Amino acid sequence: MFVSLKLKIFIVITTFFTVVLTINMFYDLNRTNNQFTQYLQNLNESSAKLLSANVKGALYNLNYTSTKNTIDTFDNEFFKNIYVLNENGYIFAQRNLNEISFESYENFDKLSQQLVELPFVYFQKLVFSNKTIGYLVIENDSKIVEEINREKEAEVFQIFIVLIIVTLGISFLISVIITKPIHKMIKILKNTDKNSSLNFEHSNDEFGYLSKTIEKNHNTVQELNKKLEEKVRDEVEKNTQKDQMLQSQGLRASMGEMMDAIAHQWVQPLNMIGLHSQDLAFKAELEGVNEKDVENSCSEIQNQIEHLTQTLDEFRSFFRLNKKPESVLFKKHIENTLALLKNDLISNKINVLVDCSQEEVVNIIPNEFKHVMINLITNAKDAFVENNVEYRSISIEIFDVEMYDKDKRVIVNIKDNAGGIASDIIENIFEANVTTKEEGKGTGIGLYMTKLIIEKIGGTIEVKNVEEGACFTISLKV
Amino acid sequence: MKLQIFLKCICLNVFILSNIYAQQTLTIGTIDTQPNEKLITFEPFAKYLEEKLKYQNIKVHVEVPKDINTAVILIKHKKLDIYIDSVYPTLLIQNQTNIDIESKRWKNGNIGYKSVIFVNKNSGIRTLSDLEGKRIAFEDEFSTSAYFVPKKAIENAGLSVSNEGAKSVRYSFARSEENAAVWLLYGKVDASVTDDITYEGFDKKLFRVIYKSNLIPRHLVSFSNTVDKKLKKTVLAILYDMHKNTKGQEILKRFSKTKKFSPLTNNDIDLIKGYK
Repeated sequence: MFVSLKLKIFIVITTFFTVVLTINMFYDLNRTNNQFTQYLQNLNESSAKLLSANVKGALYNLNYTSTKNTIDTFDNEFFKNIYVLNENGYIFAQRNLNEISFESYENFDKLSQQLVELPFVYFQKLVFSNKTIGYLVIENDSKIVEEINREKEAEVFQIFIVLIIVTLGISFLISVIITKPIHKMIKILKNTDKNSSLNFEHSNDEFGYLSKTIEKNHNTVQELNKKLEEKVRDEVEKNTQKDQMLQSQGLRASMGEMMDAIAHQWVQPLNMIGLHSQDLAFKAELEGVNEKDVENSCSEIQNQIEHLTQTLDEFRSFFRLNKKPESVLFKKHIENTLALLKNDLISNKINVLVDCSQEEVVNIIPNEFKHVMINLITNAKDAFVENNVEYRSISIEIFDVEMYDKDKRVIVNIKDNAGGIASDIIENIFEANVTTKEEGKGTGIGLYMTKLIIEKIGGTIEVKNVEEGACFTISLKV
Repeated sequence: MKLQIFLKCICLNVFILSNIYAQQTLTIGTIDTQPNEKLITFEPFAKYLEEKLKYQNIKVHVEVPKDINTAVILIKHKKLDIYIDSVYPTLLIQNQTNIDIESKRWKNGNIGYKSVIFVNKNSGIRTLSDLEGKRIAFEDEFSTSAYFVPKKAIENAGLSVSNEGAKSVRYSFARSEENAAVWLLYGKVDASVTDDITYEGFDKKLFRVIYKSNLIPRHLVSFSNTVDKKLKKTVLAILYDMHKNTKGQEILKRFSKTKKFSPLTNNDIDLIKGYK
């Protein structure tokens, strides 16, 4: 969660001042309360002293009127009532009652024995000629005291609220003042392009130092960026060149293989052509050539030439730069590919089983995928020969799968029984210059090119060893 | 010529007569140990009278002597014409001067009061006779209800009121009716006195009344016999009418909450005669 610095500063200052003001408020209230209690105590003591001096004689002479008049004059708002008690605790006179009574003061025993100190009650002995002749009781009006305390509390609270409001304002101002340079820097940083230089206004404080440092670091980063970009560009270029070279190598290797296949394909027709031409020449020399013989030989030669032309067209189409994926019937495509390898497969006694419906469609670049298939089958053939496998079989199966993300894929499995791939290289089999063949026989480019071709059309290729051989699994988009 | 002399004589007589009237002063007053308070109380009443007597060109003054003797001297020297006070001081002054008791004042709203002698509830004193040899607290020596009347009542019961003699009823002056009651409560005296109105303010469960007098007029209005009878009649008429008008009521209220002035009844006259 993003919490702005301004808010943090505001909260910290406000919290600090609130705590300080709260403590101060309670301290002030406590001090005021103590002061007021002290004032009340002083008022009681001074009033009691004065009253004592005035009523002692009157009490001694049982002069009720004088006593009553005296205590009546002490009409202080803090005095709830004033009592003059005789030595036995009977109320001789009280300020709030004009009637004469003869009752004992309620808490006299406790107060006279100093057992308790009643709140808001001041108790004093009246001594005349070294003899206790009575007592003076001043009862403070707790309501007024509480009301004054409440008023004071309200006043302090009002001041507290005002100070809090002022604090909020000050906190806001401070937070704005502190964060203003930072906001300026952020604004400049936001509006500055990564290639442009920063233009901070450097103040003579920590922010100036910070802005200078940021500017310096920005420039350093820019320089590093430039160098890095150059380096990346160089590396990318190098990689591109490398890929191109590898592709070129792969292409050349494929071309070689193609050339071998063409040569192989052409040996038989050329032999046949040669045979027919020799046969025609022998017949002309020994028996004489009739029209039918010429017609037959020419027809046979023509057939062989057509076969040669067809074979050539197929190889030519492989090297056309048709790079766009297209939907093709997979079975037909496999059959065309196998036709190219027909002689090789026959001569090596390799049985190829294709398990695929006629309607199965895949999205591939046909010529490049042909190259993939030729490469995989040729690799299998080489393995058969190298491992001297007696019964040689390659199975090609294709089926649809629906992935967890509802993406439909076509899976092509090419499985052989040529003995599998050594475990130490199976992990890196698709990397360039990695080969399973004997030294000098493999280029290490074929599977690398295969992987590139598959990945280019959004597919993947994996390999694993199965019971008797290897199984390549190609996953293609529909 | 004769006419001119006649007119001059007439003018001279008018001048002399007007001067005589202009100098006429009516002085009202009472006695009090603290004259200033009473002066303040009497002043509005005096002004009211003066206002009513303005056509007679009479000034009304207030005089408050501190004691009976001074009052007597003032009356004798025609410096105090109308004396307003309770029964006992009035009778004391009447004994020494020739004042005529003419009216009564309903001071504090009361037509009169009764003197009360009371003892502690648990006291064995039941009658005035039981006071023999006991001590009683009076208010002061000029109090009607708290000295004069109860003293008369005790004496009428055959006892003497004196601080001498074993059988006499001894007495002390408590200087206030409340003090007298408190002295009784605290055992300083055996009996105490007050008027029935004050007694009503006491906690009655503490005391028992052993004597209550007849109704005594609260205050009496007495005229010096030097006051012109016609003027006296006019003044009395003003006093008797005071409570009938708003301004008069207001002045009466300020004059110690007086309800009104009224003529003495036969009972009043008999009672006063009995106290002489």
